[in-house]
Amino acid sequence: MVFAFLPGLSGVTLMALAISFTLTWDPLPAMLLFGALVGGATFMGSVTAILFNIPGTSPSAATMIDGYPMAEQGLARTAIGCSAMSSALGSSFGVFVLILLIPVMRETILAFGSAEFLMLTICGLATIAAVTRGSLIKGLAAAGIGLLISFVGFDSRTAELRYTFGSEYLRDGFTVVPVFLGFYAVAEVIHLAVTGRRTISGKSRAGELSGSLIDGAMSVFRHFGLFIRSSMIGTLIGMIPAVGGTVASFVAYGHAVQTAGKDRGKFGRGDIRGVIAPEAAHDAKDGASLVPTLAFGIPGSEGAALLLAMMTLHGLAPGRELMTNQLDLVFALIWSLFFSNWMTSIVGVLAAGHLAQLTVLRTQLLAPVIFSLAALGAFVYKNRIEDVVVAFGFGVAGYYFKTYGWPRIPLVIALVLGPLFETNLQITLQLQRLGRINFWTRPIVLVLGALTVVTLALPFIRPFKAGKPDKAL
Amino acid sequence: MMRNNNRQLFTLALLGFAAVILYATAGLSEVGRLVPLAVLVPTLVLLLVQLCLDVAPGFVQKHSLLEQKDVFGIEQMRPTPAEEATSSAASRGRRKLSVFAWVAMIPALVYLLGPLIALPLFLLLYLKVRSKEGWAVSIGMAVAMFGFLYGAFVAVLNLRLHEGWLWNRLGL
Repeated sequence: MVFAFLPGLSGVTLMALAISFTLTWDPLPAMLLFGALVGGATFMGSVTAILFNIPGTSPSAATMIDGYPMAEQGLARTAIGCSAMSSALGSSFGVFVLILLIPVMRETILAFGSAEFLMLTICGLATIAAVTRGSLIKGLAAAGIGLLISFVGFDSRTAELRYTFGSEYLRDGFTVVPVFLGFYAVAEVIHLAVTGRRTISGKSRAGELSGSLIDGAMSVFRHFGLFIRSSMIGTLIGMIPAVGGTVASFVAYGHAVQTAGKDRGKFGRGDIRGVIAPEAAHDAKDGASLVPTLAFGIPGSEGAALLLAMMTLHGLAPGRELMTNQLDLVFALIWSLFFSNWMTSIVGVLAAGHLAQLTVLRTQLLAPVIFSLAALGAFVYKNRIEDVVVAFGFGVAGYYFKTYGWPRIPLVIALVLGPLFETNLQITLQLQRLGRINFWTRPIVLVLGALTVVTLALPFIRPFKAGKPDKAL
Repeated sequence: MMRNNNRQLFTLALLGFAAVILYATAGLSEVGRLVPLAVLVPTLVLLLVQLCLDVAPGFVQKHSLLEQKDVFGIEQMRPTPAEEATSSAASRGRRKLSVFAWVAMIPALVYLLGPLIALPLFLLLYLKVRSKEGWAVSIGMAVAMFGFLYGAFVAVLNLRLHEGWLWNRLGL
């Protein structure tokens, strides 16, 4: 909650730091913590967007469009109250859909063999590359680099060492904890330090709250139709692997504008519907995004990738086993997500004024603390100095990825999916060679293949539809 | 212009990384190189295309799809981000070098002194030298970090942390 309040950092940064601290825990408390981290970060990021015009998390940028003008008009409390209620109800909607889908998920997973998992991985990576910020080429290349990094180490099929260059450390490949710590926590702090921001929010005084919290909360019920539609948008987008909260909140905002009729002109000037829609969609997405993560091990976002990394480190494998024999852990995660969203909204509303003081915390104080915690997190994982070097090496790489507009999500998700991709590719090739399966006649493979083609072709189709075919390549 | 050159250099560095992997892949067995090559070849092609685009930014503007921001058109709706601190390229470059030097110092200190001493010491040095904080804040935060490290990892979790090359060398 507090991390999401600090612009430039995020819940993902904290999740990266938290992985190493949960290593000695049982899986249950670790799942509870990560459920709380996924749920807790969403609402608080919107408070800074409303108060300072600075989104604490990327999806909160949509809330900023109307939230900040409301604060400028002296309606900060109203906007925060609305955001809290919309966020809490939206997350409940997403969790409700997730619970409804669990029985179906189990049946679906059983229909998936190695060929389907291979195609699902390729489809997930293609979607990530296509929808993340930056160009499609950069997204796909970053995913390719992530897969290549995942190949480092011992090849279980041929018993060969790949890309270790004589290093003992690399025999086991790169471990996700130091890589994630570097790529997110260290890279973000390097960026903050290099840009020379004096305080985290760029402002020297905390914002003041004004307006009515109750009025803001009740506005969600006054626009209940919009809330439900936005929650449904968030749920649907959340279920697509790799399409994150930013997409959900902006699509819902666009929907609110399109369905506003004559009032459309009020958007961008402090219309409360511009707060309800993105907040509902963003939070509804959290529960739904766990569907691909828990059922297929395809993370839907950076947060889900970190959740998956934590689960792997605790010996939990998403898919059949998790959805049948370890359903208690799944429900622990779901309820943790549910309650953390409500608690964050309640505590956040009560503490928003005080927490606003944190955004004027000086970068110079925060940077060394996060560097130290990242080094500690990387080191305690296996008590190896090399992990610290890897974390800070990836930190510098992550900084350049951020600076030059290369998306980081495809790389980290590809790194997580690499073993799944390789194993299923090898099994599928073997089965195909032995004539046990025919890859090209399996319906799920064909559907996923078609989806992959459409996803990659979408950026090229849009200009044609918009009447600009000359720009398509 | 400088930023464009740096952009090209970064793409070139990624291309270099992929080229090194390609070189190492050549040494693998026929079966072992199958999957890496299936990923490596398209990645190399994409990186080469990206390098060409970086070299000819005018071409990218002409064919805007190559710099497609997102399929949902979010970039058009996204409000202008909050103003970042304005600074000249030279001062930004100096700051970058300084931050990288501090970042490089952490693994070195951890190796030499072990995390229990290295991390509080790093915090103290960073706060006093780079952040130019007062002694009270710097020492206070370093002591708090030591307390946290010792309390959480040594006293509670009973972990044996790396002791540091220097202490071993000195026989301490």
